[in-house]
Amino acid sequence: MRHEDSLGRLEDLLADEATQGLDAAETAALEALLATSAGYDRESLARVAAQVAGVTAAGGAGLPAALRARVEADAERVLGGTIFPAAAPARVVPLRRRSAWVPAAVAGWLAAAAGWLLVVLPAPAPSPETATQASVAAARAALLASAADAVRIEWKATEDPAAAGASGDVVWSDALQQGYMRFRGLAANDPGVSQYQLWIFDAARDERYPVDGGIFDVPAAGEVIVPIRARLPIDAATLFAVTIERPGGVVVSSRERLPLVAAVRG
Amino acid sequence: MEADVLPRIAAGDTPAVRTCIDRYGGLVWSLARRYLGDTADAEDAVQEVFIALWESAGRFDRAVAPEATFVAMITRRKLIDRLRRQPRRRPAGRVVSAQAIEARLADPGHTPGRLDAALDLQRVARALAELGAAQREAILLSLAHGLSHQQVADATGQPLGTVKAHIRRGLVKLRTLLHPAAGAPGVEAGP
Repeated sequence: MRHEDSLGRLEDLLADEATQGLDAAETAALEALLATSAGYDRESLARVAAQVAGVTAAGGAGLPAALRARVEADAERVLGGTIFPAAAPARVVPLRRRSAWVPAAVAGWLAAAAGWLLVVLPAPAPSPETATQASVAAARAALLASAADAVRIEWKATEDPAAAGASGDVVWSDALQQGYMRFRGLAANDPGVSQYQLWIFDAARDERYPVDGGIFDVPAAGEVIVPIRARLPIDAATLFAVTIERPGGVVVSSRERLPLVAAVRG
Repeated sequence: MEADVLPRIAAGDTPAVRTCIDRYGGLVWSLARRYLGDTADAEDAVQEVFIALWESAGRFDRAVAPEATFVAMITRRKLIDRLRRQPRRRPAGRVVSAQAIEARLADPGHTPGRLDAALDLQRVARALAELGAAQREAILLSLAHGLSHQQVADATGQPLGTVKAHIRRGLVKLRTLLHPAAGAPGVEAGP
C-alpha cells in the first residue's frame, strides 16, 4: 500500500474509532497499520472528538438528585470509606418576639415631628460616592447607546464563594476602548486584604497573557458600576475575567480565585 | 486555571470526589441523554462513566489533555460501547440538530462558569467556524448527538461515503487548528 493510501486508511479507521467504534476486523486492520506507523499519536483524533463533544455538553443541568445519590454510593464503594456523610438534622432556632420599644402615643408624635422636619430642612446633598455612581451609570448608558460595536455580556458565576448570588454584566466597545462592569451581589472586599482585578482576553494576544483591566473594590451592598481601565489597547475582546488578588493587584494572576467570567460571542 | 480534581482523587483526597461530580456531572449527563435517548439507559451509563473515572483517576495526565477532555473521552468510550452493544433507533419526534448546537455555542448565555471551560469553548467554536458547512454539520451530529455515520447520512440525505469523508477530514482539520503540535508522522509504506 502506498504511503498516502496507508495514512488515509489509518485516519479513516481512527476517525471511525473516535466517532462510532470499530468491529473486530476493523480493529485488527487498525492495529496492523499502527504497527507500521512510527510515533503516530493514536488518540489524537479521539481527543479532538472528546474536546468538541465536551464543549457542546458543558454548562448543562447537573445530575438529578436520585442519580447523584447512586453515583456517590458508587464512589464510596469503589474508593472506600465514607465520602458523603449523612446531613446533620437542621437546628431549629425559635424566633425572638420583637418588643415594642416605643409606646404608641410617643411613636405618633415622633412621626409627626419627623414629617415637619422634612418639610423645613433641605434634602441632604448626594454623597460624593452617590454622585460618582450616577455619572458612571450615565456614561455606561451613553456608551451602549452611541457605540455601534458595543457589546453587553452577562457575568457567569464560578464555583468561587465570592460569586455566590452574584450577577451583572460587562459593556465594552473595541472601537472606543471603553467599557463598564456592573455587579450585583458580588461579595464585598476589604481593600486592606484583597482587591478585585479585571483581565481582558484579546483575540490578538496569547490567552496566557490577558490585558490588565484594572483593580477595583466592591462596597457592602447594592449595585456597583466600575469603569474599565485597560492597561493596553484591546484589538478584539473575547472574554472578561474577574480575579481576587492581593491589595494593589498583580502583574500576572495565578487565577486561583476567579469568581466571574463573561465571554463575547460572534 | 482551576485545579484538576482527578489527581486529588487518585491521592485519596475524598472531598475532591464531590467536586468532580459537581464539575463534570452535567457534562456526562448531557452526553448520555443525547447519545442514548432513553433516560434509564442514560442513568446506568452515567454510573458506569463515573466508576471508570474513579478507577482511572491515576492515569490522567494534564500534559496529554485537559481534565475535561479526559472526562469526555472516557464518557464517549462508554457511550459508544453501549451503542454498539445495543444499537437503537432514535425516539420519534426527538430533535437532533447541528444548527441548535451551533446556536448554543454562539450564545454568550452558554458561557461555562469556569475560565478554562469558557476559553476552550471559544477555541472550539472558532475552529468549527473554519470547517465547511457540510463538514461541520456531520461533525456536530456525530459528536454532539452520538449519531452513527449511517444515521448522519440518513439525517442529512448525503451518501455514507461522503459523510465518512466529512467526518474524517473535519476531525483532521480540527486537530490541526486546536492542537497544531499534534503531528501525524508519516505512516511507513506497507509491502
